[in-house]
Amino acid sequence: MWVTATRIFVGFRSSPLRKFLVGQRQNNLLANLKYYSGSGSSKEHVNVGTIGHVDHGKTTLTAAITKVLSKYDQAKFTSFDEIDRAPEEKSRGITINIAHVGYETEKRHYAHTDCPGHADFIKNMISGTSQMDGAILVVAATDGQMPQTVEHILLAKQVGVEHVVVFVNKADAVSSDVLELVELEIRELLEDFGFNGSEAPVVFGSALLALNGDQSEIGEASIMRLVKALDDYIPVPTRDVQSPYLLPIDNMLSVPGRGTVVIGTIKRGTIKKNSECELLGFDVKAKTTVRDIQIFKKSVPSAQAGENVGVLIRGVNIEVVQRGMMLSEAGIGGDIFGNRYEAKIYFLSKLEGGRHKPIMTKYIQQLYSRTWCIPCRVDLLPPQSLIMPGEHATVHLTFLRKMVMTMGQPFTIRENQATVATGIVLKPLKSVEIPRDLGRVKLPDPAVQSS
Amino acid sequence: MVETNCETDFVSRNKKFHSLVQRVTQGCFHFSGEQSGLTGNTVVYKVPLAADQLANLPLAESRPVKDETALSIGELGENIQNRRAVYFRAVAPVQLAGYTHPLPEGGVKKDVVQSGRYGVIVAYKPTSASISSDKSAGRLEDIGRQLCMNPTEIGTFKKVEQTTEPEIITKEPDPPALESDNVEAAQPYYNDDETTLLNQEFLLDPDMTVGEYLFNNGVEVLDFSRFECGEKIESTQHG
Repeated sequence: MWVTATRIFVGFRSSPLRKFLVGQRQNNLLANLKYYSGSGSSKEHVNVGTIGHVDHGKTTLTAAITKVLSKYDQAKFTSFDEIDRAPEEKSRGITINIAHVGYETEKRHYAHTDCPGHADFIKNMISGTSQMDGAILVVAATDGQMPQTVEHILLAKQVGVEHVVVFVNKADAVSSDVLELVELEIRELLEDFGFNGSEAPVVFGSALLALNGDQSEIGEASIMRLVKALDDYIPVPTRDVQSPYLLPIDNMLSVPGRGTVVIGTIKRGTIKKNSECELLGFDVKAKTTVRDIQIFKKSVPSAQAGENVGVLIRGVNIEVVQRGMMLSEAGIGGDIFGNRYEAKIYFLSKLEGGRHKPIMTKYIQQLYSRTWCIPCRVDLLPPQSLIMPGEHATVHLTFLRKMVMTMGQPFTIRENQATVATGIVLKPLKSVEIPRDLGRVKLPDPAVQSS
Repeated sequence: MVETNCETDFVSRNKKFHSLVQRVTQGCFHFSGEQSGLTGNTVVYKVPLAADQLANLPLAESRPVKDETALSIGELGENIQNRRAVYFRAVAPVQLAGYTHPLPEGGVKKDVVQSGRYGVIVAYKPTSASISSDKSAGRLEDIGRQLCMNPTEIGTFKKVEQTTEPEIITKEPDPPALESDNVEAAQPYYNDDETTLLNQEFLLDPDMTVGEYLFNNGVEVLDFSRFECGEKIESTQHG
């Protein structure tokens, strides 16, 4: 199917309409990008989420943060009820129970999310609605940690959070001895699960008092301390400009007399003019050189991760280039170019418009990512032998042709144009030989592969 | 098989909760073992337990289920309810097989209560003498397991008549009548919303129905029970 689409596109290539559409698409791609610090933005942007037992004041805290910061025009106050209703959001077809609020400090802009359940956090991660760069763990001093605090911390690990700030709530209700004890226990627990328990900021306060405008140390002041801890402790995700460069190709054009230009937003690294590179994708591995780099039609000697560029490459016919290919620095192809990946996947429930029946291993359908698609086989990991609609699981993907997929790259699976599953890539696996038919591939033992 | 509900899925993943669920399920199992055995021609019976019966069931140290549960509620700070249960008793040559989905990470462990979002128990027996020989015991177990996976997939089922008293289960398979919403009479066997077990597509081989699979393997299903966590249940006819 993709072959036909490319052929039709050829006649369209140099028309003014096409140039306009390409421009439009680039704007849309930029809009969908994660908002990084760097050129063009005034404040750093960070995503945080709250985890903890709902009776410990998770929701009250979220409301309190917006209330206190709204005094300085840094937030719009969102009441407890508005957050608590845990509105259902649809993202990429999936229904997730999630609440979003936003607030600012002098240094940064925060996107703060909260979900009532573990499954909602995972669905959120898979659908790519919002990342979590850091987490606020809420524990009530009156109870200390609960048995399920373990599960809350495990979740943070599972979604890739590395920095946890602790807010010990209801601090007005206990003595300082108890507060100390709670702090000690939480720090130990964090250490047990691989977090830096000794360095994690622990803030004592009362969200309820803060919400009611209390001016004491544990009222509004505790919220300010918490927010400062977020500013100081949670790092802004930075673009990687050191690693070998990667440019996912979303578009291409042919410049008569000069060659083929590939267009996309640099995923990582710094592309330099005249550097050796490789064009990777759909089983193609072609060596070439960077002849020119253009940003907004101006030639530049180099460009960094995050910039949207057009790169003129030498000696490659436009017929060979397809959306979904990757332009990478020469020499790294072997590590990242393959036909097998481990991924986290969520199958849409019947209510969400997904399948009615479960899937079993050796499930073969079209996988869609960004601007391209490819036939893909999904294999379950033992002991699972089926996935029900409405469930998520870790699976192994096998593509018909070798591609470059980066960690966290989102994709969907469609049956007859309808989206039935959505997922993100976790890591590459060793490639295999693909005979003509995906169904007949001999796959290695998954237990060995994923370790 | 027991269904237990709590408020968040964080708690449902917690080991204290799992421990409670184990104890309650084992308690049911022991209770069922103490009930009167099968009499007369009965080869299998199935007994549902409603929430209140379940709550009063004695566990180890004679503490009833509701007290054990109350303790866990205190520890976890969430409401927990044992919603319903069912137990089966059978006598050879009838076999019982159980399955929960999703399976735990390490796979199924012997003597450990399995749990999941869906649970199925199937009572079945071989129809032909040849299959019940010793070396086919493993095969019979496999068939049981595969049968169990089928009811996990679809919403509603036309169940064989339930009663709290033991009775002789009819040997005739259910007629292929379609339930409620389903209007498509054209292809009853391959209909997506097929509610009768025997007329469903067999999960491992969609080209045949469960009924055909059973026939090919010389096995018949006598009864089954399927729980989906959180599903609507009909108002109890059981006491």
